[in-house]
Amino acid sequence: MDLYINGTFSISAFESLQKQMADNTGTFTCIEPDYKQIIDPRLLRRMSRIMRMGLASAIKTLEVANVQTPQAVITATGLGCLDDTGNFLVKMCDPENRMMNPTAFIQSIHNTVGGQIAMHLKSNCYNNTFTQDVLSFEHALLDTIMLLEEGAVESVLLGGIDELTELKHELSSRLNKAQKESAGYYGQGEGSAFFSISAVPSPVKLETLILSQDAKQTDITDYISNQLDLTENTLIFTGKCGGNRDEAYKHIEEIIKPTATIEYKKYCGDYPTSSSFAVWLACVVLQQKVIFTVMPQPKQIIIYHAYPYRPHTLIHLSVC
Amino acid sequence: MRVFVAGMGVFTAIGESCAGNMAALLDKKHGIRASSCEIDNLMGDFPIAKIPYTNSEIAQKAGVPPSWPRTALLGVIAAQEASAASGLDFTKYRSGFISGTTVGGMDSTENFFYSYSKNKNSGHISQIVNHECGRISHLIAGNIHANDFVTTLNTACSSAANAIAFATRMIKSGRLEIAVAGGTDAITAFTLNGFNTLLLLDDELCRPFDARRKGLNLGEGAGYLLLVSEEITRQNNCLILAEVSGYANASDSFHQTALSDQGNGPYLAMERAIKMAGITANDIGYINLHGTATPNNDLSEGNAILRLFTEKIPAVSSTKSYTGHTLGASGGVEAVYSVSALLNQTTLPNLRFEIPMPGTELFPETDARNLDLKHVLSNSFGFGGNCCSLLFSKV
Repeated sequence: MDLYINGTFSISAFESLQKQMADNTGTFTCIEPDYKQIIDPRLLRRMSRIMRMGLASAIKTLEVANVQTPQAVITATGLGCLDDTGNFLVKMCDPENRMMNPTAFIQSIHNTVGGQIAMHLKSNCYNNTFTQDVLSFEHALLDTIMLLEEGAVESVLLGGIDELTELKHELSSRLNKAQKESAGYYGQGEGSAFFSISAVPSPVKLETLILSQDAKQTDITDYISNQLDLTENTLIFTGKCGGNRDEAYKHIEEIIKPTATIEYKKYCGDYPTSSSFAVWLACVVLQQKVIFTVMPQPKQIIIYHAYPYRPHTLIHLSVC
Repeated sequence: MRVFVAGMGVFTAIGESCAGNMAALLDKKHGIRASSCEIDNLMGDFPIAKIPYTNSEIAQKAGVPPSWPRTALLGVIAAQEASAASGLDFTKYRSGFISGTTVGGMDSTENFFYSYSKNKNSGHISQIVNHECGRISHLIAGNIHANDFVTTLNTACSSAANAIAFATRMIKSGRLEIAVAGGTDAITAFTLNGFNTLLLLDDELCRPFDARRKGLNLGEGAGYLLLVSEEITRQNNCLILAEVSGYANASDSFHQTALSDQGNGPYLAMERAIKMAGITANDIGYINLHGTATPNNDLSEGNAILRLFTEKIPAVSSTKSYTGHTLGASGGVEAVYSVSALLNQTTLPNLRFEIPMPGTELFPETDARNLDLKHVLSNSFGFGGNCCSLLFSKV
């Protein structure tokens, strides 16, 4: 079944191709839109930041795709609603001031964004939330593909979302230090990227998603070697994040060189669902809204993720 | 492609195996203790259904490191039981582990925060390494050698039910041949305090579907099904316990923490699951209710049942009156109970029920009753209006 991305919207740290660096705190923070233009201000007041980012991206995506109500809403998040989780935990563990707020608890749950979107759409749609650290978005994309292939639904709203908080930054930095892997690291990031996906033809086609099942990543290397024509105008996005974790890419680099390659985390930072940002960037690049001089008119983009001790993943998009 | 249940594992406050849980259910022995005083940092004292073993004791039973979060420890016991039953060698097939959890490694994270809140430089940072929900599944999958595909769902209290539905689809589509699917959640101060701030906890033993119900008791546990494709069961002559004949997810789309009074989401989840199996509502013999014992849930679920089962109301009961609400694990635990009910051709008692909810006149089963059961539904509903129903059929 041929599947297409009919619309997308993202909130991220991305400004332009010229800006490839973290800000002065060493992190990539989202440039947020004026939410009042997108979400009812009365609802907005009670929404956490991650909910605003997610709901706004969802609404804009459906607008772009011209879809009223998708029949499925599938979200991915590596760490969930961290701000509310952190707030509730910190208050709970402070014996002097144990004032716990039910709203923080309610909104701490991973499916908060997905549930809010369904509620906003007043839809009785299928609703699921995947959380498998760096693979969360790919798994949500897999569910999307499966639902459409099963014929269970005609259109899916899919999104990847993670937020960066001060607490997360502080604790991750401590963790990175303890694990001695900070040298060259691009920095932590955050973002929200949503997609409307269906079998209705659109400029961007979702060719394939591969989740490698063996340690040698045979599925992916076979696909690149035997089914892809890298001599076609091809751009490769890798999920390199700087530092020693990037060693995992060594094997694949032999196979893909000398194809033009972009390290997309230089624009959005490192976070569990950053591959959703990569898919958004691929969509805008394939539609010539953003142009990389190394490959000004790509016909296809391969998003490749390699992680130590985790299955590697490949997402192949093309322009129709 | 049909998908069969070829093994099960469950670990709750009423028992550490399928046999142990079933014996307690039939004997009407619940696992809810009167006080939560052993848990630090709580605002109040509530009945809880905590498994009476320490992390070290559970780790020793499972043969895994005691440093694992409790959610992983509970999960690995149930996953090992589910995996062992069939004798299948997972490494020979495309085998996956698909699990639901809401708290992930929160118990260990809490321990870190107790130190951290006193001094920002203190606390063992290694205690938060396994915080993420996905880490729990990763640890368990490695232990049972179901590594070809590992994922985690967190849709609050319907997580495990969604995991079973997703795993079934993974097998139907040929992507996996075998999957261990269900969920696990440990009791944490985070969730106890959270449900307390929402005023959803009963300070006495919970009374699902009773007119005087005041709220839920939290529990902990894990429950997993071993799901196997028709072809692999045939090749290996596996003992088939049941077929996963239907499943459906629907959003209630009413409120973040409450279901609509008329139960739109619950109605649609049950209706779609029944439709998928190609049967009618009259064919359902027993429903293992979500039945949390909160005023809102039980009314909504009850109304959905009355609307859907217009000719004949099946036997219904909530086993949360034994295990407490095991949150993200409940769909897994109750899937095991539902299949057990089918295998034993018996309903499961709903404890402490006396007076039906006004306006519904629904009478849950108060005794184990022998019935000719062919199809059993298991309901799970979560925050965000996430409703999932699973349908198991006799083979």
